[in-house]
Amino acid sequence: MNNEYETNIKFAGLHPQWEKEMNSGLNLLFADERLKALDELKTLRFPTIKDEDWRFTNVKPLLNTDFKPAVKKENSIVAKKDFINKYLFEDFDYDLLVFENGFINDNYTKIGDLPEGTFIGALSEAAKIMPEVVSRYFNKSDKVQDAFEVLNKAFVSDGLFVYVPKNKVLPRPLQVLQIAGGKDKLMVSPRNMVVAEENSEATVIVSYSGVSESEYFNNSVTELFAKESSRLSYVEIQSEGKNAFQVGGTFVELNDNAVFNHFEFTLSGKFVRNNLRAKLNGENIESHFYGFYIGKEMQHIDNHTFIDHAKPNCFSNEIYKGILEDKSKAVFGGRILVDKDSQKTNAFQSNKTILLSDDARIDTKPQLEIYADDVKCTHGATVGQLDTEALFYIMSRGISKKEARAMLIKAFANEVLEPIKIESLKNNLTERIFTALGG
Amino acid sequence: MITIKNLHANVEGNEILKGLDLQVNAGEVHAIMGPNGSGKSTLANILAGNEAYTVTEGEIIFNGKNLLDFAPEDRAREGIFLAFQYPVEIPGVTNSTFLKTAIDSIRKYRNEPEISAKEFLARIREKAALLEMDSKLISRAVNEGFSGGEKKRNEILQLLMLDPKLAVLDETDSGLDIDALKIVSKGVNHFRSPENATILVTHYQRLLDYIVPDYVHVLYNGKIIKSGTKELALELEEKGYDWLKNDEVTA
Repeated sequence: MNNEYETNIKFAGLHPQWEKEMNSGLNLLFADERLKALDELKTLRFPTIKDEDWRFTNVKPLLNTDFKPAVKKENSIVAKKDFINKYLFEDFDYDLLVFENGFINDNYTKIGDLPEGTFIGALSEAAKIMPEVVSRYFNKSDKVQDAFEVLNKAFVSDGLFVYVPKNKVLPRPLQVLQIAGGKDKLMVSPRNMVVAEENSEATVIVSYSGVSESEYFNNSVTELFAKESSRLSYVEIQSEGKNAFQVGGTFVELNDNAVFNHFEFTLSGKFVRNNLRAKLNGENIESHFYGFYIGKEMQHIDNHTFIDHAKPNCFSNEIYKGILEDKSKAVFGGRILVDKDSQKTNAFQSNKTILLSDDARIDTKPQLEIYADDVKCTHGATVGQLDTEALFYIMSRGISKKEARAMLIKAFANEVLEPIKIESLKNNLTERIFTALGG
Repeated sequence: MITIKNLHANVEGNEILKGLDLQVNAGEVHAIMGPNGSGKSTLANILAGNEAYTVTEGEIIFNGKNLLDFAPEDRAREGIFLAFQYPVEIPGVTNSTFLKTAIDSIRKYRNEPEISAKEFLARIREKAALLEMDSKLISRAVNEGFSGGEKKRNEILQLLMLDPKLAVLDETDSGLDIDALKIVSKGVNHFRSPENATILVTHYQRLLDYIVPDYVHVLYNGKIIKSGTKELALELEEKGYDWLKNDEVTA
């Protein structure tokens, strides 16, 4: 028996121990799903560097750490108001949900008037109020067998659930804080879902953050559904603690005429692996996937994306950019699949990284698989340094080196920040990027 | 205003300037001419403090201060401006933000208050109009997607807004059609005053038809080998540089 299987057994073994606590107060829907996942987990193997998609990312240090599942509310940390404020985006009208180690803290919930049939809240709550809707979508996005996703399901605590009915518009962007940490080495398993029904519209901003130095493992899964002619924007900001592990699976399903924007900002965290999988399962879809990552010290950030053009006449635009300092390491794996019947596909992909130190490293791998003949697909990857000529140009106008650097970083990040429609969110994120880079 | 003595400089280990002397006084315009590779752009870049160039010998005294002791941003704050041969694009930073940041950085260094938004706007509109620049360019990102001519005009706009003591123009005429050349020259002539000075680096005489220099110097092989008045430029136009090169060999 090899190590990976032992690890699975280890996690599976944890389950009976916590089963009772996990079911307290939650809908049985999850209990069934969890038991199924548990069986699956026993037969699934965690990836190793021998797997092509994990060549540059070794999960051994993560699997070798004894994490304890965050299974009940009492385990949660209680985030202080000023901590919340630090990660909130202000200067615009928004609704708010705060989760601590995977469980909602209702004290912070702020939701204004919503259109009829709309739901914003905890997944466990939705499972009680609209069980048929939840069952229709829970775990229904296009996935491959993935040990981390199944692990999430086996230990799912709770998560975000957003449901926007047909022809309705979320009146305000929703902000969600997912806070993790505490004294126990916790494994947090949030499950987030957003369903935008036909011709609806929603903007959701989810920030992951960690309590100071604590060591934890955030194993999140997000399922996003944008139905016919809907407009969905999902912004994820990862500001995890400096000793945190995060594996984030995002599974997206898009239908005819949907307009979809996904943003992934990785600003901190010791180990981050993002798996984004989007299925363009309809025609005339417009989709954008933006990513920005900042690596410092010994950080490891891996973004793997898979854009599946399953139908003709769709557009996908993917731009991932990053800045790496110190001995940080990043990985970008971008796969685009164009099925043989997906004619008139337009698919663009680019990955650009700036290395601020000689010891920083990026491994980038674009992968285009095109089986249709009438398509437009391009990809490109660049790695470079901060342009010294540009730095000199700005300084020659009397602007300090520090400010000149900030300007160039802003210029570099502009391509992924510019598409953010909420002006104050854009400005605030720009500030955070500077702060994350040490100002 | 500025005195350069026995300046030697390297770029990537190659000696480019080999003992350059130059004296520029307030109110004067000096043209530095010379063939490609003679060291003209090196001189311009060294004055502005480009760290890609290393000064190995000599000194530059600017208004009584040793210029080589200053970082690029402090040289700008002391009153030096370089109009770049190849201006840089800065996406995401608007022209007006860039210029206001620059003006305020310079003012802060001089213990002066920040420029008011109203005064800034009035000034930038006036200068842009003088340079026949589309006012939309002011709110666009610095040089991003600008044509070659627009970039050069934008350099002159920056010159007029920052109002330095010494302007160094590096091949500002290159790539300009005659109409753009006239506008750029109008901007530089507008800048000229008894209190400031200009160094024009060019290898074409035609710029000097519009910006008439007080002195013309020929830079060759890292040294100034001949100085004269504007007639020298006409002579160079007619005869090229070869007759001077021979002079230098026999000298």
